[in-house]
Amino acid sequence: MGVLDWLESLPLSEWVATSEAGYPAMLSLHSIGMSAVVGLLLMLDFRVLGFGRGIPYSIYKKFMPYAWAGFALNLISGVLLFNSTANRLMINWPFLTKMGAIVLAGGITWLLWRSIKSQDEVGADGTAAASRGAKLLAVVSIFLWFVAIVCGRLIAYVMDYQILNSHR
Amino acid sequence: MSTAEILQMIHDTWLGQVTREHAPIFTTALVIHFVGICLMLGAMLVIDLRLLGVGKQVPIKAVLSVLPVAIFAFVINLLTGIVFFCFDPVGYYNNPAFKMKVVLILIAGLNALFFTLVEHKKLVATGPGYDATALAKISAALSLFCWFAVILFGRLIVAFQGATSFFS
Repeated sequence: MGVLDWLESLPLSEWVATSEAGYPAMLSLHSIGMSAVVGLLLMLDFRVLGFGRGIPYSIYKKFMPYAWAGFALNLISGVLLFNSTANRLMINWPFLTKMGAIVLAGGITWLLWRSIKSQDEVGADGTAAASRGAKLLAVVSIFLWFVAIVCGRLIAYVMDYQILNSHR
Repeated sequence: MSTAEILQMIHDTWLGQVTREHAPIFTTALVIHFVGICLMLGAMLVIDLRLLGVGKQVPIKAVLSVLPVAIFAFVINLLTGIVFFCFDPVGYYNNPAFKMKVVLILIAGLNALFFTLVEHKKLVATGPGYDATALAKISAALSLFCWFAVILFGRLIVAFQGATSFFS
């Protein structure tokens, strides 16, 4: 039995796949987590691009735990969703693209965060304009989150197409 | 005019016909709706978390500068929401999750109206380090609760398709 079959055979995976409440509950948590983590990181990107410049970067340091909480919620619900349909997701191109986009967006945000942190210490009130490099990172990050959302939406459509009879 | 007649009228509109005939319209509107969710919650988290006391050194006036993002996102989601409703007016009208979502949006709307009329002016005049009043904090907490619940019940609409109550 392969790893993917084993994941699908776990009791929690079967609950998500077959119970009436499991799948919708995971999807709901996944949407709520998304709104927190993507929402806050988009606001950070907008700020870097010059929107709402009166907001110092330092407040985003305080917001980061909430973005991480959203991410944790999505990691947990995402893993449970994955385990319930592991075999089909591993051949689902929107899913694979979404994972790639999230990993890249995370890396880009990390780079952006580093460049901002050094800048915040330079600007007295932390409201200085961002460097051109930081702005480029912000644009790429916005694009990658968009790709992740679009592909996340398309997962179910491609899956429906593959099996024509989904439990969604 | 009866409710059934009104729903039929909405069903027969050009928008209703065109969304039923071309599936990609619904899918595209759904993707935009999810981007809107992220923008809306991102902006609301920035404002409401500050009101609740996160990043108190930042003046409330500064975080209120992201309000246009929330308003823009709300309009986008209202418009895409109309597309969904015209697709299947009777289905949405009878769907318990959709009804709940609408009620929650109304509560969130009244809360926002209260905030705008009663709190906004006072809060804009406050400086760094200002701790919002208990009333403003309740309003901020209610706002976040409602919007997260709106996402929850929005996501449950598909799960309750064809049901007439949550318990049927």
